[in-house]
Amino acid sequence: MSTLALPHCPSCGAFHYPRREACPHCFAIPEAPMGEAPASPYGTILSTTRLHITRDPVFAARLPLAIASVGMDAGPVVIAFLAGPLRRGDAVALSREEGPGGAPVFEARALGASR
Amino acid sequence: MNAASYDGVVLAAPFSLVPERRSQKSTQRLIAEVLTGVVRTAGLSHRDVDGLSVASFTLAPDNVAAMCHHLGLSCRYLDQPALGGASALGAVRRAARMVAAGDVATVAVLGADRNDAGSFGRLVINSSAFSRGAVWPYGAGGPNAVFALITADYMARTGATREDFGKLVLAQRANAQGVPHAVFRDRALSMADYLGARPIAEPLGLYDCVMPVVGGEGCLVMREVDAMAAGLPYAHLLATLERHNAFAADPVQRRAGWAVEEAEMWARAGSSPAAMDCVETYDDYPVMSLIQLESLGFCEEGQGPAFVRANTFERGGTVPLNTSGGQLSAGQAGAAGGHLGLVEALRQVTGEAAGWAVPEARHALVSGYGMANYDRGICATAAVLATGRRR
Repeated sequence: MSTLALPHCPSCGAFHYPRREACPHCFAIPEAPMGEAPASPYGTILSTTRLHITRDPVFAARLPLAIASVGMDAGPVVIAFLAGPLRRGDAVALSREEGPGGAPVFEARALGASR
Repeated sequence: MNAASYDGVVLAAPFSLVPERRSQKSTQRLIAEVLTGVVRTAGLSHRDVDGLSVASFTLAPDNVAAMCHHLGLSCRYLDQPALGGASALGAVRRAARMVAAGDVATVAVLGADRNDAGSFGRLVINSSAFSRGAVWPYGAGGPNAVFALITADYMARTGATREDFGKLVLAQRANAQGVPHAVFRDRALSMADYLGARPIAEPLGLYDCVMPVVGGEGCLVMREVDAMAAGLPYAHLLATLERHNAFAADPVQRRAGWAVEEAEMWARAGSSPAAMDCVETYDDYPVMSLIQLESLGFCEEGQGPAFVRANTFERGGTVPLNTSGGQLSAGQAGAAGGHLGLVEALRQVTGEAAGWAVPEARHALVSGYGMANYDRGICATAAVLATGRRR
């Protein structure tokens, strides 16, 4: 079974995103910076948009950008690029990729019958 | 909670700079101009101001203490709210308590920002560590994509249409006509224009997005006895609310802190949504006006579209909304965006909106909303104003 690393509280075990210095669920502050742990990569598309303007020249040639918020089975909501014509309510699998700007991004792909 | 009343504390001296699309003026100069405008509107001296609140995204490296020095004031209360579009009402809440307690007498509550395209100052609006790390890598170095996601979710949940949002946008454009400080005061807009506008972040089009401008807004929070002695028109502050990061578990933002606090606010005000003669929402995007109307008790959650279809929002309408055009038609001067509705509501209930008055307006609701952090706005404020003394 594939997994996806997400920020994870060592005290209560909850996943969260974006990464925090303290757990927003149990308020624990881990001794080391908050680490990541393997989580289910699956989720459901909550909402989608196609972005037609950007300030960032790296993205200008790629417009429009298909972007979604995805509610992950593991708990957090993440912003993700959409790979393919996906809609609200669709089940997806997320992966972590290097984004066009160099920063890591999530990418959501349609989930087949394999789930 | 059983908060004390604001008896004896009033709002007065509304002032708005006429906004510009571009300007060489510094933020410090804009703040000086707003302060002078407020003081002149009140017929007072700068020396009568013993408290200063400044909201601005572009003031760095200065802060409110540096501005106190810069402006030549001597103050016993300084405040620099960092609540984005919720700053104005956050400032009013704090200033009103300080005035009521006798710690300060006359607080100038100001907001101002310049608009340097691509400047750091403009980028820090709707910026945060979360937004930079988890939203900007998707090409979305601004709030449009996040509010497109909120809008698309709202439409799917409630059945709202583009025409519903357009009805609000067109009514606000009509309200802006003839308002000297509304950037689109002489630019008409039709539903065909609205629906046919170029897409920004679907379903948002150009007219769902505010026009950033250079500008500022302000007023005074002061003792009622002083306002009476100065012969000023003034408004009472019947009740307020403030609640941040409510409903953090909602997967997509569909309400905010207003919904936690509204019943208590209306009870303290001894009033109700139906009694409001005008409503000034924080309209960074039209969907947020609907979410505020729902969260503040004007209709049930999710009933925004039915509310839009059953009402009219021009100054002569059933629910006069954003009566000087709102940010969508008056422009958004950065952190002063939340002061726009405050100052407009104050003008309406004091009879100082000559030329764009809601006739005999006596009660107004103002709402603030701010600090887009990652996928939602965090800050929510609101206030109910009532006529104290009309011009």
